[in-house]
Amino acid sequence: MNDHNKPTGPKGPMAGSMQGATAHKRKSLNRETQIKIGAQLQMTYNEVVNQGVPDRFVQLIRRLETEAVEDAASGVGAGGLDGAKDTPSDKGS
Amino acid sequence: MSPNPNPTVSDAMLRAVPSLRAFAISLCGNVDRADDLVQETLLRAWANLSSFEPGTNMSAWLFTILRNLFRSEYRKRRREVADGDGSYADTLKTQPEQASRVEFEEFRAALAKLPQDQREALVLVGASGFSYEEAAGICGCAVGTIKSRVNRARTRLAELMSIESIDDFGPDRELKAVLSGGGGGNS
Repeated sequence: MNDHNKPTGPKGPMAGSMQGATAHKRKSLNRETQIKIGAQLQMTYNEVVNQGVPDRFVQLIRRLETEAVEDAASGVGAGGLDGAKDTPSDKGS
Repeated sequence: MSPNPNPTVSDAMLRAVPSLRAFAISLCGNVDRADDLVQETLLRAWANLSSFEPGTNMSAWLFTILRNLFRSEYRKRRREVADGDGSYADTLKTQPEQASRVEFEEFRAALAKLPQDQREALVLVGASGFSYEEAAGICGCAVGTIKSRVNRARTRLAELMSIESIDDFGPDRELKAVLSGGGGGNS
């Protein structure tokens, strides 16, 4: 269990204070952990964000724009594509 | 120059895609499903542009739609979603160079163990950069609820990560796996 407490030379008497340091470390771990959690959350998230916009979404938006232009030309207003069947924010939960 | 009907709107949508994907992956733990969810979100948003109030936060609006879509889909598929741990870690195969891969996987596994409500609150506030008020708007709940979910998420993660950190001093990684995974079960 306490492998790291093996004697490291002439410092035998220090072992007691090392125990204390370990206990203290354990206590402050939560704050360190909180900072670590924040950083790792950001990194995990940014790993995806840094992938940028995959091509399929660029193409999707271009297609929607084109359709809207065509609809506008044929007299259907932009934004009225599928008709507002339902408003997502009103649905759910 | 093409007569683009909504240049600002489509640009804003595209700009939101990277963070929408990151949020979606944190919700469903699977890149392919997440991308489908983002696509559905963009389609839904486009079809309902008239309900978007210009000048308000486009990103928050899209997050709201995505979350609602996920919720209704999740309710339908609840039975097949039950694979807790590994899924999130498996989703992102790109190796982060900044930190050790092991640490990342431990973190993701811990994140995946959080209840959905807590996880989404933590991600919205802690990673997506939304205020508590905006996150409450996106989740359709009170600001206080978001705050307590975020707090509980942080505490729970700290517990999971502390167990792991303390055990880093010890010899046995399997013991760590037992400690961090065994108790959790299907909570």
